[in-house]
Amino acid sequence: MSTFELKGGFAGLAATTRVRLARNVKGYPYRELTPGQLSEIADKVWNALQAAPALANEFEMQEVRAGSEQAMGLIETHKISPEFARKGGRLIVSKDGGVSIMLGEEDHIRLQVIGTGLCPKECMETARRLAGLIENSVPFDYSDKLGYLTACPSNLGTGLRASVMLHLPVLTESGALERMINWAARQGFTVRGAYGEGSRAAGGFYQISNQITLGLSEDAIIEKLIAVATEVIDSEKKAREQLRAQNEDGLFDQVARAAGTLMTARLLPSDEAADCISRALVGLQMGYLTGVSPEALVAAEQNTRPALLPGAPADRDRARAKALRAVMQNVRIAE
Amino acid sequence: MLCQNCGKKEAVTYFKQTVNGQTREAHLCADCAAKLGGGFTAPIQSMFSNDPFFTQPFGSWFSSPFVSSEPFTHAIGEGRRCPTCGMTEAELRRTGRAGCAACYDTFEDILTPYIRKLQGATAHVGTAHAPAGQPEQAKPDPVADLKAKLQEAISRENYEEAARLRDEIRRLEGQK
Repeated sequence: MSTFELKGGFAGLAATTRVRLARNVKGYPYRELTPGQLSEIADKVWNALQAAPALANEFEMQEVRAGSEQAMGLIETHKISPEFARKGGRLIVSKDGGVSIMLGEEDHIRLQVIGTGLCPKECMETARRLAGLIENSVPFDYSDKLGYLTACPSNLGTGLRASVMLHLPVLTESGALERMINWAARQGFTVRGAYGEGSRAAGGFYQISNQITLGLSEDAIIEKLIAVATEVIDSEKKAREQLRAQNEDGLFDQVARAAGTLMTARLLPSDEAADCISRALVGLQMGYLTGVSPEALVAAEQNTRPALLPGAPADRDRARAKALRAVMQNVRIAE
Repeated sequence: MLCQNCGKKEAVTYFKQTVNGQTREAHLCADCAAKLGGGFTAPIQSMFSNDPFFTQPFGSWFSSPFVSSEPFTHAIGEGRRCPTCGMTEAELRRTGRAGCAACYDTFEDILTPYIRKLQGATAHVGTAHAPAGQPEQAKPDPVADLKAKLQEAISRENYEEAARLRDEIRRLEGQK
């Protein structure tokens, strides 16, 4: 197991968990950093991480050029934000991909920890440890009243954004999602389509994240996120069972056809792949399919997004189909 | 009906968000919906523009005429400028971002009501600063802190905030 690999429960239903801390280095402006200033900040952070013997070989630093293809790929794997891709900057990533630190985003430091499944506590613990390690030698802007200072007041205090990506296809279909979103909003959480495709998120993936960063402790935010995510997951599970009770043949048929497509297709466009993977994930959780882990399917979906595959669209469709056939090779469809 | 933000285009979507009991709602045109929320009902802007994890929930509300009746914009003036980074009031209003740490002192009168509106609180209770060379330490007693804030909220007659604090205190005490 690699250093920063974090795993939580509800695999498949909770695809990934992300925790981000925003920090600014004392003595530097928040906007219009010169390349020299950015470089100084990057070196300070890098040296702070290198000072911990156990972590000395865990990280790599790279320059991300604004608008580059490399940047587009990093967005798809959630290593960097779209804003960072537009601006460019320095990026420190752990070799196992679990930690990424953007330097020169809206705040000087955006430290992010990604895990699979529902694992906000574990991600928070790692983020806290790394931020503390950096803070040992790099002083951050901090006020006793407002906590950690950030460029945007919406990140003040803890600088914490914690989020879980949930797979909610049946709740979406049933129309009950709207109610869930309103309920989550009352708890101070935002629910949005994970890839921004308007009202119907691609493949039924949604992100739940905290809106409030000030006036609540990190632990309180994390616990609330877990409570809200668990409640939403429960509703999705109930909706699935309801669907099974109403029309099991129809449900099984959809799952089996989707699995068939993933196991046999030679050219697979990304929308169709997302749709089939979504149905296959439901099939796995409900016992219609066996032979592949939900984590592997979620990862395959993310790794076969257009920006991560080389070549013309037809080449990408071919590469995507091949990758998914490989992931699905041992899958068995229930009788 | 017309969009309640720009007042020009036909409203196509209803926008509603609640933060700690404070609800904001509006009928918006597609453009303003995308600009203000980038949320659920917003049209596709680009394949990559809308990763919600990275999106500021309310960043752009700051400069929107939609919230212009709030105290924040009452303090309009061209005179003030942050002595440290040179940020002006006008820029602060336009971007919704502080230019440096000192901006939070320079523009405190403008930012405090805005922060309260945005966050439902104006005081940090999480991890305390760990000065360089010293181990990280948590604030001594979060419950005592919250109780003081509760008293303050009651004296300000901010009962919504008081109720939230009371619940938080109960929750923390329940864990002990």
